[in-house]
Amino acid sequence: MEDRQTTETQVAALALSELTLPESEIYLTLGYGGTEPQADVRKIIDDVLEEAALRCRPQIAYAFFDGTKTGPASVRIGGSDFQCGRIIGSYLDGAQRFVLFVTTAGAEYDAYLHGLKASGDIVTEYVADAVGSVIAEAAVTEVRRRVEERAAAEGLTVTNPYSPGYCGWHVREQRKLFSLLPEGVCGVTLNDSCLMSPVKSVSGMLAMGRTVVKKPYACDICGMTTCYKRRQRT
Amino acid sequence: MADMEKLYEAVLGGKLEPAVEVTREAIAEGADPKEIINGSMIPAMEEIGKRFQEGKAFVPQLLLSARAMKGALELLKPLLKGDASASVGKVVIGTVKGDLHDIGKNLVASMLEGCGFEVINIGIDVPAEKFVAAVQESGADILCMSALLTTTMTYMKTVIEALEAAGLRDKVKVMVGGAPINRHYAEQIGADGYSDNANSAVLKAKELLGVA
Repeated sequence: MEDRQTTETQVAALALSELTLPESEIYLTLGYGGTEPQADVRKIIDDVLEEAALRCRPQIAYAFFDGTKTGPASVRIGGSDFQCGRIIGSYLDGAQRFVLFVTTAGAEYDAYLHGLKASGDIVTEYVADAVGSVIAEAAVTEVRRRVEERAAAEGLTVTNPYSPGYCGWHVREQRKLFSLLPEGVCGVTLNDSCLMSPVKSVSGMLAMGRTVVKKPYACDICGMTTCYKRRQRT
Repeated sequence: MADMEKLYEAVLGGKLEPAVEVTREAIAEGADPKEIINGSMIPAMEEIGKRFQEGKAFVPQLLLSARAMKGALELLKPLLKGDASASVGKVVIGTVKGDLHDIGKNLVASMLEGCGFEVINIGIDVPAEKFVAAVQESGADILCMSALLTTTMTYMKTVIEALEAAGLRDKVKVMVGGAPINRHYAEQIGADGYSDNANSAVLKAKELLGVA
């Protein structure tokens, strides 16, 4: 089968209200593992969310590709070979099509974070940083929701989203991922270290197939004990 | 008379305005600035740090306490001018070249400041020569480096080598931190200390300077 892009890249600018930002995720990202913050911290979260509603312009972009799992730790998508690692590879058995995506909380939110830093208000800066991460992840959830709708129409299921930099997939592979999407998609660029700008952005892949499954949570499949995502949840 | 127990509670509870108010009263009454710091503020920071380590307090609470302490310290600083013993130590902190992550570094900087360190925050995407120059110019006791990516953490070794080349390595302790860093990596690149959170960074910094 020839690996090729099967649709135009879908790009959408969203209102923050179109995303679901679970309070529990914000609390987790702030380090509250299963505990609610006290009233003064909740007030700061509310203030940040209010500001975010005014300023934040999230964007999503995604494209469908044919692809093939080429080995226990590798996959070919759109003609590019990705070394996704054995952990992710093990969840791609039966994958028939792939989606590459980029999401971002946007440049406006980055500017808001910079402004907070300049003000010296470290508490609000920390909360806003966490909220920005949750926004970018919520945008991934929105991509997955859209992909799932389409997959369901074709009788397919969809995996968890997987991103370079996690679960043994090297962050440098973002270069290949971005090369398969339009340049500057969603206003997101990579620097020499493969860091995305705006910082509150996520790139990754979803796989579709008749037998692939969405796992309850990604930390359950990853063996990286020192990862900060795991530390947040313990 | 200023209620120093109230100052302790204000710093512990992260209440900036009461902390500043009591400190102002204490100063007006002629209290010894070092006694205000050592008697009320530092014990409060130690207590919130202890609660954090025990999982009974969380990062935002640490930061609120640090903010309250910093606010009160601002009033005391002019009274401590020329008193070198008023500072626990001098720290240069930055995120290494190629990495734009700010928040983890800023948390550590804020906690160090809140706990009485003088902190020179030289920002993000910092090249080795800028780290070296900052250490040289400030006479820092500790250099803290942060990185959030596996692609940028390797630059920490470059900075340590630059410190060696400049003849500064034995004059400054080096601490590293960030999501992909662990103790093994810190040892491997020749750092003196590693921490995985802002509170333990303070404890490690104090340990390295023998003020724990």
